[in-house]
Amino acid sequence: MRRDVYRCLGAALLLTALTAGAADAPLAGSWQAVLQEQIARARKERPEAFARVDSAVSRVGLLDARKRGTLASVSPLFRELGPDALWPMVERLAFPSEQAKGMEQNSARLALAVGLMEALGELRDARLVPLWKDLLETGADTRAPVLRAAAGALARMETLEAAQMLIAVSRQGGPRGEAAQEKLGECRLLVAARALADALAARPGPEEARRLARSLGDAGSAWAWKTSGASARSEEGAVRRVAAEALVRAYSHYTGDVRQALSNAVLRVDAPETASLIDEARLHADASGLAALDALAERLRHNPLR
Amino acid sequence: MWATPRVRARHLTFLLLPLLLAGGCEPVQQPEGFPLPSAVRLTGPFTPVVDLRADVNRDGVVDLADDEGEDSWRAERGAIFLANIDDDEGICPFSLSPRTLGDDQLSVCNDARDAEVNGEEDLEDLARLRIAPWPEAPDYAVGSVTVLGPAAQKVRLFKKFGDTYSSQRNPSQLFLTAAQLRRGMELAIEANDIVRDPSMWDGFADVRLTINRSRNRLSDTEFQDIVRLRVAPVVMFHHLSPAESVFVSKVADDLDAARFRKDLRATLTGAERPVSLFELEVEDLWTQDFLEPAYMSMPAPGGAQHVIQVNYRAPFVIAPEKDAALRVAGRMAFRLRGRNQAAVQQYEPGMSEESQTLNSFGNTEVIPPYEKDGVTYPLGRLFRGRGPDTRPDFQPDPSFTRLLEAQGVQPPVYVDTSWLNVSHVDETFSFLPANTPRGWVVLMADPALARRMLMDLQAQGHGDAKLFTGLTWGFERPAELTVSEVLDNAGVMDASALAALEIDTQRAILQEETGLTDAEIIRVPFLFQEVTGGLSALQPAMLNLLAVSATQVIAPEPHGPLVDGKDPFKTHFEEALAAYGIRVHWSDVWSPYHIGGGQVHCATNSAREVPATKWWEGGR
Repeated sequence: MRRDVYRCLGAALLLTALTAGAADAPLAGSWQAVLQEQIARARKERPEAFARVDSAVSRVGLLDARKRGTLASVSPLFRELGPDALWPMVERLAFPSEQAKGMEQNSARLALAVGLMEALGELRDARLVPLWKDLLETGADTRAPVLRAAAGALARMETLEAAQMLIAVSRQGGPRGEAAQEKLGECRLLVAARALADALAARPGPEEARRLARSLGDAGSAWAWKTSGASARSEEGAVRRVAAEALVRAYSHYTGDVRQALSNAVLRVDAPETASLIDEARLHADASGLAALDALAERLRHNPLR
Repeated sequence: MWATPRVRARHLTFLLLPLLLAGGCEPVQQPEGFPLPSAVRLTGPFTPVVDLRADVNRDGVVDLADDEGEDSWRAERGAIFLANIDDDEGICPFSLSPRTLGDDQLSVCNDARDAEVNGEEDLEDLARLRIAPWPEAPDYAVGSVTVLGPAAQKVRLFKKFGDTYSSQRNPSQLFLTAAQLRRGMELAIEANDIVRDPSMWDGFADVRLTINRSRNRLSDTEFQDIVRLRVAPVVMFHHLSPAESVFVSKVADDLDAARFRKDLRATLTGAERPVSLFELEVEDLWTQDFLEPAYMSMPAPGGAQHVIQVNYRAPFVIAPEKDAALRVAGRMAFRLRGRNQAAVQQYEPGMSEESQTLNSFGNTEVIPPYEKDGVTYPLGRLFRGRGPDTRPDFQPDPSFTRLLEAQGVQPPVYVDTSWLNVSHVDETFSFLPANTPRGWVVLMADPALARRMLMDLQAQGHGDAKLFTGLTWGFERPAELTVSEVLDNAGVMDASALAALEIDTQRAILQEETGLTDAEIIRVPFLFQEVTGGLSALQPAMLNLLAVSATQVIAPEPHGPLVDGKDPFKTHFEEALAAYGIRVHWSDVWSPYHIGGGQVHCATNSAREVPATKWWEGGR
């Protein structure tokens, strides 16, 4: 009888262990498995790249201890390692169990994760889209910097697919939706600008309106569009026009710091149509709205970005 | 409001006070007891001299000239006393470790915590009061000196016996015997704290002398005299005052930081008026942030000010534990505690982790003195960063804000700094003395100017010139970028555009509040980049400097592109400051400071010469 009990317990433990192992190991063909294959291949081909990332990681604790703000900015450390560091960084980020050892401070661990995401995001590698999507949509870590970094990495892809993912998440609300909304503008695609404009046209509360203003400013940023980096060059005019329309139309509906954020975004976008959009908005404005629009027009005339 | 007997008493005082001042304060060792009441003393004539005086005319002496307006407090007249929170005998314990000495234990020790006068130097921190003699005081006369209202919890009164001062069990009350009333008395008063929350205590103390026929009638206020005093506010230094002491963290095992300290020491030692450098042994690079030197003062003889320096500890919460809640390096405020050196700690737990950076003192600067629309700010105004109203979770510590605002003499101007990674006002503005009608100019970050300068260089064929030559971001890969690469970096350009507009918003507020003209703004060119959590200077921010004196600053080497062997960013800055007679000493702070998010100002702190302008003359 007792032997049977032990036998049953033993079987149960074995089953548990196997199940746990199965949960840890990625399913064949899953995005995790694909990434792990790439990591394994890279480790064989370029072991020195892993050593260099290890070396960079070892400096994160010091940067964290010496940070001036809330979160140490460690992405420059990894950004400078270049594309060779892609898979070692992915390993650190997506499969961090062993590597996380030795980093005592929570703030250092957070800085490392965010720094890796920022540096990886700048590499704009399409193979990482499932990773970004997973971190943003279902990741266990819902701290704002992590979600923002994941959304930012998606946005930097500047693809329709990435934009649509961000739009879908942005409509969910909550911390994930806020992060997606915040970074959507960095796609600099018309579809993203329209989604942001629609959200602002619904006249959301002040906090969301401020976030949307910033994001529309990102989408239409005149200085950013002047660089060679923006991929959807043909959409520049439409993106900036859509952003400017949304911002100017919302302008007199808000006050205080939201209005200031809208004003800054209008100037950042600096679309050619802005002056006429302000004139048009005047037609529908009351006395206080008129005064505010006059102030906006005056500020536009002296736009410090020109 | 005064009863007739009191008026009569006042007239007598002019005859009697000189007796006191001429030496009437000899030891009075009469036991503190009171005669029993009798029918005679309750019904007979009773015309006491009820005259309590303080240094109402602020000449550092309590005398005949101090009577008028003693029961009110205004710019022209009104007595002042100090929070006696220094440690004149150097007996307060200190440890950098919260395990050895918790945050609260660390902060409670100071000279006002006991009922003693801690030596001659401590006596200098006490404001004097005098009670005019009433030579005809009958044996049954009794007196009491009482601090009224909320101030009673905040002050201690001392009575002079011979050469010593002592207080009674109730620190806010003293009893006087008939013999003491006859001779007159010298008293002293200290506050045990600065004003922290005006809803609890506004800093004023009404001290009332009453004289009565018996102890049983001490609450009878028929014969009373009230003097109003105000505790000195804590005043922060502005850059028009030359630096006297500079502080820098002595972090271990960092050759670059050691090199910076060596350069700093050499520069300060060689300054026209040498400045002391104090190296604080802490592993926190940001000396600007974890403490802030300030001062409080009261009138002293000869038109001087008696000063206690105050070091604020930054209300930067790092942990929920009560004994170890605050940023460790801030404990250095208490390490500096000593003779005429106080430290103040005030914070509110439970605020968001993200908002703590707003509580660093790089985010509380001082706009130098000015006048606008007939309103003067003779000690300037605080200049602080905060989050927008739509982010209630991203605001400076409300209890510390209350404390700063309660000082009253430097009403703050707030700007939005939430868009910056570090969120400090010293990242975008600085103030320097200047030989102009206003007496100062403002340095303002201008990314648009930086972009224009780089575009000009590109147009002149210098697109390949490199910024950050020979530098790394803390690893072996170079940080250098060509002019063209910078201009073609969408992230840098967009971050710089955003920064330019946010700074423009800050500028508008500053100009609205101060009346600064465009000509009084020196535009300092540098670009921004987006880093984790916000924007940060891409190029070392030259305005984040140490203002040593009216003629010298120590600024961060910008590591700009070299054209014909010259960095146009350095040249621009040097020429702009030279117009005001200011020399620039360049210091390389790329590592570890720029990499960590700060420059020279962030790496240092300074206690400055106390301005000749007295806070009490400012009308606040």
